[in-house]
Amino acid sequence: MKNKPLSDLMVVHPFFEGMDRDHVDFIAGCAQNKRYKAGEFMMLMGKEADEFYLIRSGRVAVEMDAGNRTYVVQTVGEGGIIGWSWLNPPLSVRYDVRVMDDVSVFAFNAQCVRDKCDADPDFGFNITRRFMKLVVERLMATRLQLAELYA
Amino acid sequence: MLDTSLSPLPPVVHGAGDPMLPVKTRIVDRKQETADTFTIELEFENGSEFTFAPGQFNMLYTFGTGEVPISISGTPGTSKNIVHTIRDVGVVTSALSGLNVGDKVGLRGPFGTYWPIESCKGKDIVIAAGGIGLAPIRPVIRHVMENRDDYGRFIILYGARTPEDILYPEELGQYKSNLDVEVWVTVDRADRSWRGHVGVITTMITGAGFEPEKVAAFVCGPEIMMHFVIMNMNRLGVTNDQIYVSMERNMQCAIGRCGHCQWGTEFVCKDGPVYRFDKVEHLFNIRQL
Amino acid sequence: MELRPRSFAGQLKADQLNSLIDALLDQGYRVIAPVKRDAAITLAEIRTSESLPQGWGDEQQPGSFRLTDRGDTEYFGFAVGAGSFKQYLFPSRRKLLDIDRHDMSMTKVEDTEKPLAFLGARACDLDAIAIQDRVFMGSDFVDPFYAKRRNECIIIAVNCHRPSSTCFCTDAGKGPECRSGFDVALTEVGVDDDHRFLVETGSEKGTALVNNLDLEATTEADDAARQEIIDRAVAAMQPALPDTDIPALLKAATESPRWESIAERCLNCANCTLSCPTCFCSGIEDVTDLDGTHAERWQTWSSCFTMDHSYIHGGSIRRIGASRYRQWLTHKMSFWVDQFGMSGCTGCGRCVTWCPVGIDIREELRGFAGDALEATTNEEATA
Repeated sequence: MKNKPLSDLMVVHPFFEGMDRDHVDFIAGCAQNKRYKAGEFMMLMGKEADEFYLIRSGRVAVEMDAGNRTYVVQTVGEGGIIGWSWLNPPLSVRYDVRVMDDVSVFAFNAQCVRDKCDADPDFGFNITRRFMKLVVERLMATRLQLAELYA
Repeated sequence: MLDTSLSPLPPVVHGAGDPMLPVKTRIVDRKQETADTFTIELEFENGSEFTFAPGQFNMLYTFGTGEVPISISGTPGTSKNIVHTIRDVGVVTSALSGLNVGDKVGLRGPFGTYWPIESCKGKDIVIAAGGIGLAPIRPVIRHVMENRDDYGRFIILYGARTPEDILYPEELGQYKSNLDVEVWVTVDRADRSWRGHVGVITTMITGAGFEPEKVAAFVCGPEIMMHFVIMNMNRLGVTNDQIYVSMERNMQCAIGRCGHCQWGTEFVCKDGPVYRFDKVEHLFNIRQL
Repeated sequence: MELRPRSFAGQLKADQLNSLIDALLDQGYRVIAPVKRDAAITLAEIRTSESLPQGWGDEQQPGSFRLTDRGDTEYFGFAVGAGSFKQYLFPSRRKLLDIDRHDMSMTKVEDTEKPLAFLGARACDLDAIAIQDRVFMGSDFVDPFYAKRRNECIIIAVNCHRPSSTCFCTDAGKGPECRSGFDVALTEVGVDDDHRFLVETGSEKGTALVNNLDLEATTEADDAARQEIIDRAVAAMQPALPDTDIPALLKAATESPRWESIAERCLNCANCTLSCPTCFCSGIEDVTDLDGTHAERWQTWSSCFTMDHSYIHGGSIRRIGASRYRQWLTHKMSFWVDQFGMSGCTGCGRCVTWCPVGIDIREELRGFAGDALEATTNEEATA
């Protein structure tokens, strides 16, 4: 079972807290351990990318290149997720993701995960629900940022 | 050069013998639109008429501070009256903001390519504008309103930061009062006194529900806004050869010579600023080009 | 190389060179020629042949220019110096307008300088002038200042005998032979025994000028002498640019990490754009006097290496050095072709010599070509 070691690492990631070990093993089959150095771009806006990431350590900046300015929309660190649109293809990356501090991530092949979701709806719903929670949190945070509370 | 097939162009007005020489105009009217945006109407000192096509711009000169490229935002065609809506964001626009009726402004123009609204007869026209981007596109709106029978559906989508930043609110209201014109205005944030939409312009497009093959879209606003609007349009089946954009770059000569407005192969001042999007899509996606 | 019969107007003895300069001065020209100044060769106004860098040579490397004192009598025994004739047709600072606050009345500034005579222009200089002619006179809006100076000027070109190691006009330009674009072309031969200039004319203006000179007839051997000079110059330059479609190569390389590696060395000092004979970017500056009654509009040279070159409200488009370097090189060798129907590079090598950190665009272009080849090879391997 060559994925077991990876699965052992994944099980302690906050995203999988409380998830069935079977499901973690299931999804580990779509995952790889990856590292990126500070300054590298993990994702670039407009490019095709069929991966999403769970950050194990380090920090990235989610950015928008707006022609004559670069907006850092959010920074994401340990425990965070990068890439949500994998659930509904066709996907093209909406943001630039630049590594601020060297990161170590679980990189998931999105097609693989989508296939597994289709094959096991129970698993699929579990994953989707976990993603929704993160997306809602991010949305609330963004709305607060938009409200310019400190203005 | 990219062939954007937008010709012929109205003659350029400039001082004798040198395209870098401004001609004198006088401010005949001034109106404050929002906190930082104002409209001035100019007339030539010698009373001559001025012709421009929608989307074109002039270089406006104020004594001692310099020139700035400003889109012409009046009714297109020939008239004595030259209308500019300007946002006070820098040295020259600030100087323009401080001028009064009777003061002089130097002018060179019109420059640049235009929104090809006349060649889009019979189509459903979709205007998507953000912020000050409504000013360069108002000439298109006025043209369609004056020639309403030449076009199919007419949809105006406009986004501003806050209700106080909405440009030309009375005029938009007048358009909206026409049963055959669809006007959607949204703001990024508001307080309760605003009873309209709050959200981004891209969300309004999904609500508009049009037949993609019949659409000609004119998009004008910050680059990132144009990027997301186009993405949404594509998702609704509108292809990039149906979409026109207006680009902004540093312009100092407006005649393709100073080199500042370059965008890849393009001199935006004369090969643009209006482009059919499929012709420049490859440039759009390159960062810091 | 096959001998092509030339038609020489004649030959001018080297010690008679002053007669040429005098003829120009008599006709009211300002004579601009290479001079030795500040440990380099630059261009300046001269009145006699004694101002020319006779006996001086140059050794040029990326980031280095050294004069060498050969001590002989050769007048033009060097390649090109720091500046170019561009600064006379397209000055680095020029007042366009005087404006009075009262009534905003504007007075155009007229050019009152005498017509220019360029003595010692090389093939790359002729190439550069032709390139700038296209920029300033070849579009819908002709620059009247440039057009006046250009139409009034007379060009006495010189065939190169001693290209430097940074020259690459055989690759990028049309040199080293002066083929067209001159009024008079000189080839300096026989320095050791029979020092003279073989004189060709390229226009009516040139013919009219040499008619004032005491030229002796040339012989068939002079054809060979001229050819030898040119052949030697060609042989002195090694092919330096990659043998590929460079405009396409650079367009495909917009996302290459190589730009960042160049940017790590590039100081953004703008020397390359200042010394380049074809760079044409300009900016407009407005100034007023202290009591604000009088204003002036000035046109100055701009460089795409400055942070504010691409500034629009809120920020500049090219915010990192890599994007600014990419703009310069890609414009010069690729976008220029789309814009003007020709390359913007003459192969003069000034950008290579005068770059303080020695960035060599020939080497960088070979690097890009190598990257592209590697990428294709990898693709084929994995296919």
